[in-house]
Amino acid sequence: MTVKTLPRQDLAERLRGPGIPLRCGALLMRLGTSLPELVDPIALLYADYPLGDDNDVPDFDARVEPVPRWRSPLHPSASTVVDGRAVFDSFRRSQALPMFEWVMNWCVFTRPNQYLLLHSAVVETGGLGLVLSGDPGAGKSTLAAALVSRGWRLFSDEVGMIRPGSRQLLALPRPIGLKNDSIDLIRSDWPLATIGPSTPGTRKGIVAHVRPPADSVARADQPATPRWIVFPRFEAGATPEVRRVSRAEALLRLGEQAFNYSMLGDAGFRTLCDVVDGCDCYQIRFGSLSDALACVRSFAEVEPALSAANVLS
Amino acid sequence: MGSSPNWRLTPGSIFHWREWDHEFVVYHENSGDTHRLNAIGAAALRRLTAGPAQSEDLAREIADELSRPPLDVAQAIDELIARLHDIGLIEPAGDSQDPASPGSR
Repeated sequence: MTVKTLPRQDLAERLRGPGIPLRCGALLMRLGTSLPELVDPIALLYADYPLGDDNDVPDFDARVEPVPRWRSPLHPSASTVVDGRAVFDSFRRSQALPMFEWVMNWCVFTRPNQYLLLHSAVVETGGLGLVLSGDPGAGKSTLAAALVSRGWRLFSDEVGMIRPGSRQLLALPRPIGLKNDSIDLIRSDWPLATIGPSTPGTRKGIVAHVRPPADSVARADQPATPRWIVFPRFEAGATPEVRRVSRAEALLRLGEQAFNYSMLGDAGFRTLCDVVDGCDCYQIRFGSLSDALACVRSFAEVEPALSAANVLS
Repeated sequence: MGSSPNWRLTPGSIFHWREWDHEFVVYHENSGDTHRLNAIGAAALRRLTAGPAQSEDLAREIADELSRPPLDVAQAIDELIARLHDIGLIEPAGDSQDPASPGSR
């Protein structure tokens, strides 16, 4: 049973009440809100997610709730609640959807510390994972979305998850967060993408989210072997450049971007070594999406779905 | 005895190593820090795991081990010693005995 099988009224009531338990790869997340304006975006972005059992204990319980008007008389506000406790400052209610997605990401970044959590977008093809790591604005999500539109499986937009002692990436296919120019870029590059409402005026500017393809959600229990580590860097007007990065450098850069590398101690080190071990590592610099794809094309098949179709025909 | 100090690993240090293409990463369990080292740096740190050494002796031994020109290694070792000291992996060996032996894993 998936979210889209729930009648809208049932979904609204369950969100307003105990919340809905969603399976996302290895995690069980419970989402809830009594903001009616979030029901349709949740129905849209999470349509294909399997519903968990109401009795299962979730990895986290995230809610966005309205702030009483007397506490915020100037403008309607909302706040985030995780596992029954308020987290973060309240915010304008018009920002509820990006804040809802942000608090879900925050939970994913901070809760499942039984895994090594890399701050990365991850896509997969043929059982092999491509890890995109970089600072915000580097182009990770945009490039990940473009690869997904070309047949790669969305593994995760924000976190590369590995169980210590294992060499396998675990999938966590959550909506892809896009901002500003990237939204229209992906709309034109991937006309069939389902993109949720755009929210202007956030700290990052305009924000919108791409619904993960149903196939990526359905295959969220299938791991991948890390094969490529890529550090993208978007620079307006840049000449495209692909530079090989040593595994030692890649390990340090991934460790700096990881959420809990230090917390895991030597287990984190060994796990990250094992991830890097089997990977070719690159830094790519680009000024456009087509250049970014050309950079990736220099070491990986960008259109695996088209290749497969050619073989079949 | 010369004026240059004997250098030793910070007492109790435990290291975890990985090498790729003659480049090394070492995880220092005590601080939780990870460092990248070239072949000279790795050889020096491993040599100090066996016991204290003066930089001149360290340079000579490593030049022999890696078949590198002694002068080049000596200069690299001076810079390396300063860096390893800065990041707290080594310290001048005093008169006191190290209560805990350092090690690698």
